[in-house]
Amino acid sequence: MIPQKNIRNFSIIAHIDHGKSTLADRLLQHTGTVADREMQEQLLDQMDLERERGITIKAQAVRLDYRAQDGQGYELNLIDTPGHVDFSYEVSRSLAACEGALLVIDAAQGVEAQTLANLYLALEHDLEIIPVINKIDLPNARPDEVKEELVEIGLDPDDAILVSAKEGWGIDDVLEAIVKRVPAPKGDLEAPLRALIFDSHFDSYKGVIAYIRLVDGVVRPGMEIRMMAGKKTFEVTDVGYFRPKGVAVPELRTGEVGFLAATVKDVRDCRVGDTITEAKRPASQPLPGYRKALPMVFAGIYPVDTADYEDLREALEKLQLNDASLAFEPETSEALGFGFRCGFLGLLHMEIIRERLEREYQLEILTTAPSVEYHVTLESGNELIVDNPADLPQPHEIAMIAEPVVLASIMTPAEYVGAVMELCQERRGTYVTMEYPTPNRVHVQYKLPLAEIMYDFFDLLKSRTRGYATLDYSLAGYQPGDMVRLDILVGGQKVDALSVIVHREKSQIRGRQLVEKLRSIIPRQMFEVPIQASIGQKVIARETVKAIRKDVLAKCYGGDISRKRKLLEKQKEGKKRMKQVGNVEIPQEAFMAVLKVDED
Amino acid sequence: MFGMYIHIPYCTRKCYYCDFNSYALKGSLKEYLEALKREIYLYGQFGFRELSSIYFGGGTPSLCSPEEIREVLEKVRELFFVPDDVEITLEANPEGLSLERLSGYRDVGINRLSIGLQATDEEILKSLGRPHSLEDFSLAYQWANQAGFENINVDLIFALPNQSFIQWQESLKYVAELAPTHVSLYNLEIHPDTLFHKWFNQGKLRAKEDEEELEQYVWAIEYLQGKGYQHYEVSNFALLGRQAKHNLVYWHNQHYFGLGAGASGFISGERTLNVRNPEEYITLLQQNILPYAERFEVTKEIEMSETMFMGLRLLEGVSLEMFQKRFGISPYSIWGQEIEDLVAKGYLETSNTHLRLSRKGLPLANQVFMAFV
Repeated sequence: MIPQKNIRNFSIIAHIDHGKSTLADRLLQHTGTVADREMQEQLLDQMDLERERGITIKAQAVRLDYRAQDGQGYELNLIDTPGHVDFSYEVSRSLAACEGALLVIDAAQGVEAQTLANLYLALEHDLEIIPVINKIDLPNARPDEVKEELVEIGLDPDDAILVSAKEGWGIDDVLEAIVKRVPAPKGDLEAPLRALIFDSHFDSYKGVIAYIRLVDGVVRPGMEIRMMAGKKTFEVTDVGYFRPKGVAVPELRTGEVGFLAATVKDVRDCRVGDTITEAKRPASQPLPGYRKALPMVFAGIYPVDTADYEDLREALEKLQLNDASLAFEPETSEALGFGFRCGFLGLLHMEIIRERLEREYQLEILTTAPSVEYHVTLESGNELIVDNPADLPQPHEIAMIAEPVVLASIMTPAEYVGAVMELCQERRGTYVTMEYPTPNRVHVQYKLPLAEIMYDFFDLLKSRTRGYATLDYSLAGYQPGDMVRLDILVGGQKVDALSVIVHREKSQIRGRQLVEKLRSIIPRQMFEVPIQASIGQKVIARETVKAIRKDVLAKCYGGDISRKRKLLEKQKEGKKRMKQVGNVEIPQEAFMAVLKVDED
Repeated sequence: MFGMYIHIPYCTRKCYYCDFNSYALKGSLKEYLEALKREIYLYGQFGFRELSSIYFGGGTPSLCSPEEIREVLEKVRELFFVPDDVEITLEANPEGLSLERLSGYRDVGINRLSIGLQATDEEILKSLGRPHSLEDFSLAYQWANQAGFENINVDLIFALPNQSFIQWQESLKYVAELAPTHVSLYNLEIHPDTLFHKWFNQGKLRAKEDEEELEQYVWAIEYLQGKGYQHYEVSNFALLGRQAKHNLVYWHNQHYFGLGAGASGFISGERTLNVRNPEEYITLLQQNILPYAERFEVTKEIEMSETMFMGLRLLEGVSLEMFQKRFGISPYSIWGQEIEDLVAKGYLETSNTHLRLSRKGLPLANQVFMAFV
C-alpha cells in the first residue's frame, strides 16, 4: 500500500489547444498506465464528441503508478479538466481535489487568456503551480520569450519544464517535478470520513458513480455513508479508481482520488460539491463546497414531433445525470407546443447538448435562438427574471431592464489592439484596463453585455486579429440596458419562438437582417407568406416569401416509378419535419436564424 | 399484356445535366448486347407472354447498329408474342445517324423514333454538353421522314439556365414547323452527381425562378394546342391517336419488363431494379442470373397510391371506374379528406368518370401527388 506521503494529486490546466490532452496521454503511456498498443489519441476524452472536436468536456480522474528516481513508488492522481471557457466552472471543481497543477503553455503561442484565467483559479485553490512549456519541437517555438512572459504573470521561469508532449520529450522531468514539488495530501486517516464529490456520471447498472477526493478517513464497500448536504444515507457497493478503466479496490484512504458507487438512483441525491461522510461516525463540518454552476445562456428545446415530448424529457434527465450544469424546465410556446427551457454555460455547451440529444437519443429537436437572463423591474415595482423573450412584458409595464455583463479578458499581439477595442466598442463594451505583460502583447479588459458576445464575438475577434487574440470572461453582474423585444410575424401571425430581445439602437438593423434571413430559409408555400419584424405594434421590416408556382417532376426515367414515389415521399417527409405555424410550414433552422445573421 | 423497356446505357459522351444511367461508350457493345439477349431469354422462360409495346431507351440506343437491334428484336420475337402493330420505339440522338442507318432501323421493325433535340440554339446545345448541332438534327429528321418513319417524337428541355423566353419560343416554333406526331417537354431538373449540380452549388449556374419556368410552360401548352397537339400528360403532347403507347403503360401503372443495366420493371406484383453498372450486369448474365439489384413486393396500398399519382399525370385523370374495378374500392374511400381539400383549393377536379388535375393544379402536381403517397 502506498503511504499517504507518496500520493500526489494534480490537474493539468491550459489554454485550449496548448496540448493538455496530449500531455495527459503521454503521462499515461510513460507510467505504463496504458500500454502503447491501447493508446488512442486523447485517451481521457471519452465522449465521441470530445474526440471529434478536440476538446475536453467532462472532468476525468486517472491513477498513475510511478517509481520515482528516489526509488520509491508513488500514486499520482491526474484529474483532467475541460479546456473551454464555457466550462471554467468544471475546472474549478477539479482543482479543489488537487494539491498541484501543471500549467501547460504552448511554446509558440505563449500565455493566453485562458492560461491566465486557469492560473488564477489554481492560485485561488492554493495549488502548487508547475509551468510546462509544451511543443518545443515546433520550428516557431520561442521558449525563452515564453519564460519572460512567466515572470510577467508572477511565476518563476526557472521552475518551467520544457517538453514536447507530441515527441515525448521531457516527460520524465514532468513526473519528477510532480513528485518533488506537489505536496502530499494532508488529512487524517483516523478522523471521520470526509470525501469531496467533484464529479459524477450515471451508470445504468451501478447508479450514480461519484468521483471523490478523500480528505479524511477511509471508505470501503459495505459502509453506510451520508451525504452531508443531501442528508440521505446509502450503502457503499464499490470503491475504486480509474486507470483509465475502473478498477475496484477494498478501500480508498485519506488523500486518494477515486470513485464510489452506492446504488444512488437519483443524481440529485449525489450532488457534485457535497461531502460524503460515514453515517455511524459523521464528521462535524462538511468541506467547503462549490457555487452551483450558473447557466448563462437559455434556449427552448422542442421535439419536432410533439409525440416525442416525453422522450425528450427523459433524454434531458439522463444528460443532466452527467452534466450538473445543464438546467431545464418545461415551457410552452404557442408556435412550438410543449418543450423545455434549458440553461447552458455557453453556446458551445448548448451546441454539445443539442448534438448529444440528436446523436445519442436519436431525437429530432428544434432549438430556439439563445437568450440571456434579464432582470426586469416593472412599473408596479415588482421584479421579474426573463430568460425567454416571449415572456417580456409590454413596454409600458416596464420600468427598467438590466442585462448581464461580463468582464472580458482579451490577450492580443499589440498590433491588433486597435481592432480589438473597436470590436468591443461596437458591442457596447466599456473599457476597464489595459496591460502589457511583454512589450508586444496586450491584455485588454472590457465590460461587455453577455448578449453581445454570445453569438459571433469570438469568431469576429479571431478574424480581426488573424486568429491571435484569445478570450476569457466571467460574469460581472447586471447593468441597465435600453432593451426592446423584436417580434417576428410569419403569415401575419406572431411566432413567439422567433422573438428576440435586442438593444434599441440595434433593433432596426437586427429586424431587417432577421426577416431577410427568414425569407431565404422559409421555402415557397402554396400561397404568399409575408414576414415582418415588429417592435410592439410597429412593423420595422418586411419581406415576402413568394408562392410556389411550379412543382412537378419531369421525366419518369425508364418507368422507374418507385424512384418517383420515393421522391414524393421524401418531399412529404420534408414537409412533415417543418413546424406548422398557422398555415405556414417553417423549417427547423429558421428558429436558429438569429444565430446565422451576418453582422457585416 | 406487358410493355418491355430495354435500356442501352451508353452515349458518345455524357451531357452535363444528365443523371440517367449512361456511360460514355468505349469499345464495342457486343458483350452488353449478348447479356441483354441472355436476359430476354431468361424472362422468356416465365412463359410466352404477349407484349403491348417495346421501348429502347438510354443512354443512346441509336449507338446500336440496325443489325444489332435486329438481333435483339429477333430474340424478343422468339420468346414473346409480338403482334404486328405493336409500337416499337427507339430513342435516337441526332449525331451519328444517316439515311441508311435510319432505313435499317425501319427495316428491322422500329416504327417509332424519339429524337433528343433538347434545344435549338447552338450556344445552348453546347452549354448542355450535347454532342450534336441543330444541323445534325435537321438532317436526321429529314432522313427519318425519307426512311418512312411516320411516328416521331422530339424532346425539348425548358427552364434552362441561359435560355431566354424568346429562345424557348423559337425552339418550339422550330419543332412545330416540322410537325412531328409527338412532342415531349421536360423542365430541367438539377440532379446530384451531375456537372450542372456542381456548377449550381458553385454559383456558376442559376436555376430558373418558378415564375420564369411557369411562363415557359404555360406558353408552350397554349402554343402546341394551337398547332393541333393534344396536351395529354404533364410533359407530353401528341397529334390525334399518336399518344406514346409505351409510356401509357407507366401512367396507367400497368406491367412491364425492365431489361438492361439499371432498368426497372413491374411484373407479377413486384418492382424489379437491375444493377446499374453495365460490367456487373454483364457478369451476372454470363452466369445466367437475372441481374436484380433490388426487387420488392408492391402491396395493394402502394399500388393504389402509384396508380393515383401516375394516373393524375394524364390530363384526362384517373378513371374512377377503372380504379374501383382494379382495387375493389373507390379512391374517395381511401383519400376522401385529401381529395376534398385539394378540390376545395382548386387543384383537383372531379367529373362523374374521372379525378384529374385542374389547370391550376397542373404546374403544382407534386403538391397534389404528395397527398396520395
